[in-house]
Amino acid sequence: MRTLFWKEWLEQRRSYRLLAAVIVLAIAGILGPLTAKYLPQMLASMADVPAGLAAILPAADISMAVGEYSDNLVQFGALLALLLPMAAVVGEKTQGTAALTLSKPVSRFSFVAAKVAAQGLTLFLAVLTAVVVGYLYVGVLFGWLDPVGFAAANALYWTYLMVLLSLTILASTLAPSTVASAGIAFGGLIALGILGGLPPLSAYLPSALLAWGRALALGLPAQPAWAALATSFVLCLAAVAGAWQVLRRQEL
Amino acid sequence: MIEIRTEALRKTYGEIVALHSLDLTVGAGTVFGFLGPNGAGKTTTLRLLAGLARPSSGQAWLAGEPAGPESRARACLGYLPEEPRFYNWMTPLEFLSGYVGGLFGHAREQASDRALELLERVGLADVARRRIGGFSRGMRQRLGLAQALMNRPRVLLLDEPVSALDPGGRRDMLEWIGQLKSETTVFMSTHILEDVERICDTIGILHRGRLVVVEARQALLARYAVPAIEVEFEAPAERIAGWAEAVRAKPGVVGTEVVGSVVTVRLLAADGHLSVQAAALEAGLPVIAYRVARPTLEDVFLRLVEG
Repeated sequence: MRTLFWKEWLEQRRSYRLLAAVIVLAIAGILGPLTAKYLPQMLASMADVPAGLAAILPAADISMAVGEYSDNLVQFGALLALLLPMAAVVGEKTQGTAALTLSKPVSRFSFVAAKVAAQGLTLFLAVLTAVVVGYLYVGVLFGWLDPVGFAAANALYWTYLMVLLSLTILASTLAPSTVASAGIAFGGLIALGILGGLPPLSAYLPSALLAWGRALALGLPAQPAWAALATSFVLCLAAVAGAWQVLRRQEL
Repeated sequence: MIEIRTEALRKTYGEIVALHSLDLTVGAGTVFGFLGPNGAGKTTTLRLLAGLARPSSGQAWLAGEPAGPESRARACLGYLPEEPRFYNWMTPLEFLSGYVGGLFGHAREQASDRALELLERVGLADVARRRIGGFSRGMRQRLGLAQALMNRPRVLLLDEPVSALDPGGRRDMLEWIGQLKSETTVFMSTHILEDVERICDTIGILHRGRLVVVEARQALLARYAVPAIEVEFEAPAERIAGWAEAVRAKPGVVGTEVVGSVVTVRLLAADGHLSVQAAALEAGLPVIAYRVARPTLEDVFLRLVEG
């Protein structure tokens, strides 16, 4: 497992995936508070904007900044959680590197788990970068947030993204090609989104973590979504276990 | 000691039977040539032995351990696929010492020493720190052999190890494989008869998923090769063809074949060469060479596979 993780982590760095993920989420972290702060001014300064539009826009405040930050982080993060691992297993199977690795005395579980761990670490470092730059920009432009609440909120966002990443790894194990893997993972994301919007289910699905996180970041009272957190962990584990079981039955 | 054993090993893909009930034993220190035309089931057999595929029925053992996915047999196995693929962003040294050595649980220093030794052996020492992405097919094949030897395997499975190489690369690779006899049991699949003749001491011929024959090379050649005489003339083509036609009618002659100025006379039995010798002398054509044709594996192969 250690060697497989070493290889995966080296690949994250050598293929610039880590760098790309960090840059993308750093931009997402900066963009939220910046747009919240300056969008009304930018609109007001535009020549062909209808008169009075700027006046009816709500005044930018810290709540709007955190909202923009959270939306950007989750949207860009979801994109990364699909793009980073979509070829993780299927790519190795079609290229033939999986056959070379799995003819050695390693378990197929380690093969999958190392990929989830390395890609999860990449996503973690990218979210961490967003946290640092987002916290500073919100602080400078709107006022300082409680750092613990903000960190906890981002931990929940990362957990949500890990669910998507794990499901994409499962899709990558099931699919016959990278494109099919991305398609299956995207379908899973859409399904989670739709189910998350249904009132009886929404409190139990990972998307409930996002509202909880936003409240934590702003220091507002919120109903903790423990059930959603538990579901997220279960989904992550189930996706990894599913990918392992699928890979165990596959021939290379 | 038996290092490779299969019992009624069978593999089907839907309706297609890729391998019919293969029973085979390969002793330690053998260089086993697994010969067969394309699609005979050679790669399927190697994948079953390497644990990359599951048999539909039957069982295989490597070094006494049952073969299969996640089996312990993989610890004493070296496997070189037909077209080995690597992580292009790694260097050969990283791949061997960091990755392959790590997968076998070698200590870092031990893995590094072994990697350098193998890179030296396969002629890649001077590119040990270059990215694999820039390697030619021949260099990849050599690196493939090095990775298969990393754990000093008891059994080395080589799938068409020289088919993609140029003549120089082929010669080198065959030389290395031949030298491995004292270290390991080599099981090599190929459809190139010349390579098998050059280095293998035991030969198995597979045809349409069935094992047609397994025998020591010399015994196989002696048993199945057709005795033949080659006579080379310095004469016009039509006169050579006429002589070949006349000889074909002689008793004990199975057939003749004319290639350029050389006539190959196939005989029913080795002692039939005296009548050919007499016919050559009586022909009144200048004879440049007269030799007993060495039976080739090609003769055996064609006879067994093409009936």
